[in-house]
Amino acid sequence: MHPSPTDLLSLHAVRLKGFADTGAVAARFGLDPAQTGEELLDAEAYGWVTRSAFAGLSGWSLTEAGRRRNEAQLSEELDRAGARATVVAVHDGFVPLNEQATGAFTAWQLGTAGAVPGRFAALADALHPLEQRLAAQLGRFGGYHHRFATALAQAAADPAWITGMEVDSCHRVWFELHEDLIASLGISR
Amino acid sequence: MTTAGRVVPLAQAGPDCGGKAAALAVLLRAGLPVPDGFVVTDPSTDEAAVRAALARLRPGPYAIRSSGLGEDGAAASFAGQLETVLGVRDPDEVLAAIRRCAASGDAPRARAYRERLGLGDRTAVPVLVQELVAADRAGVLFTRDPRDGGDRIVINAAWGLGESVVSGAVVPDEITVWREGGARVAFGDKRTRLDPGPDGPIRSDVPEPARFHVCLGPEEILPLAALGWRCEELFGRPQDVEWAVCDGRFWLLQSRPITTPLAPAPGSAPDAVRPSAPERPDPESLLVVGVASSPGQARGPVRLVRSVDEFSRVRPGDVLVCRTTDPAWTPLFRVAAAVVTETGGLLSHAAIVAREYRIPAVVGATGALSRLIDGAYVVVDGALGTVTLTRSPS
Repeated sequence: MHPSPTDLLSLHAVRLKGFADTGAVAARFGLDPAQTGEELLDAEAYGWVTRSAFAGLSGWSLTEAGRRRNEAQLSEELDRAGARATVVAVHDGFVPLNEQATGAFTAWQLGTAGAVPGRFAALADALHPLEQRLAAQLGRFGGYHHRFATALAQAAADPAWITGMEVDSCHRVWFELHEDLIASLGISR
Repeated sequence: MTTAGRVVPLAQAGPDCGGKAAALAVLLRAGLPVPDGFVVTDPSTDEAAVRAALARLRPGPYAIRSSGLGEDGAAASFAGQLETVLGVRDPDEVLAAIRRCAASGDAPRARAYRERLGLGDRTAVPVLVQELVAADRAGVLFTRDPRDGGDRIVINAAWGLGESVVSGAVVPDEITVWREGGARVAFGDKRTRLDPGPDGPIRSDVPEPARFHVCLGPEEILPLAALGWRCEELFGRPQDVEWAVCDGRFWLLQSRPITTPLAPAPGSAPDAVRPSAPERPDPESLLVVGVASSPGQARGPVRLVRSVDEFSRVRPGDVLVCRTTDPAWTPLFRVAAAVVTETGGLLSHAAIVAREYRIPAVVGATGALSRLIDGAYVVVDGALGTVTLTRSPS
């Protein structure tokens, strides 16, 4: 299993979280917050990340140059670890699953037929082997299944854990994996 | 049969050619776009004459439809009661289709319909042969609102041949156009489409986002409505029109008087059961249509955002307009009044996140970044899938 360097991880955490403060960026890959703060200041100096404020929240987000830098780092890492074929294959398996997932999230939000918890449990089951194949080659891919299953368990008490934006909900976890695959392969949605 | 049938060029068709053909001839002579064709007045018509008339049209496919004498009159429409054969290419098959359509007046369902309406007993039916329009989009148009008889055009539209709308195979888009200006669009669920194939029409699934995407562009709505008004003017009464678009060109396939009673007498039905006509969106005008993805209506200034580098331009209450969204864009949903994206469907990231934040969203709005002007005030209707211009910020 290939470990990723911390500068790659801090930039990639910003990509995956979209918009996050230093603490949340560090927490994404269990990095040291002080060191992550330094990495982000360096990245800011290079024009890769920018700090902005929205609706009373402030956080980091990638610039267009930062996105390109992020994708170049991931691509290089993929080849160095010999993991490209695996990631391509997992992405191919993910695409049809993603249609089921977004359909299930939409049905859940709209309250239409088919929004049964069983569909989310089935998605969690399908996610597990995909993650195992990825994480066997690149450790940074680990954790999605655990987070998804945890959110699903929480949803029994609070339905916001299915599609909510303020918690690490099933939809947010799912979407983060989608973004991770897209970024790693340098493709667009 | 004592008199031999004749082959009549469509432009010269008169009342003896049946209601459908006679009405199309009126449109054709007025210079309106009607596919070329001819009428076979009786099944006894000489085969050689039919083959010769066919040779003067463009190569198939053709549409062969009955043009009944009682049909399409002012009192009753035989909608679906008489035979239609679409997509035939070979002359022998055309002749067979003509015989089938001519005999369709004998079909029990058509006979029963005639008897119920007291329309006499003539059974041989003139048959109309036309070049088939390989429609990208097609449907029907009423020059009066069927909901209340109001003076506004109501268009039903779907992908492919108009058969999908006429037969009720799909839930069509519904576009209401006011004579005074303004339009309203309600998107349908166009699950399938019918297209001409080598051996007759083929029905196929419509994938997302087209399935929920309004199939007429804003620039097409007024020209189509204008064709409807022209039909009403020519016949001097409200019309029910079948239309199609092929390669950007509109065609009229049928025009007949509206046969259902309009404008129910006051008090004849409780308001609760009578579908109500929509309110005219004046003084707003329709700029963009897309997939209605998160319900609600919001008004605000357009903020065109092309990349993350432009995020700082977004202010609370703006209407966010962009190509697509990903996790980096999520915080903008917290401050935006509404979201419009050029790509995506009901299941896209923007749609799901907008529903979470309870703000209106229109996605798959093709051309939004070029049609909408930064800073202009618009109304986004996330239930109808429309973005309309409004003059005042309040």
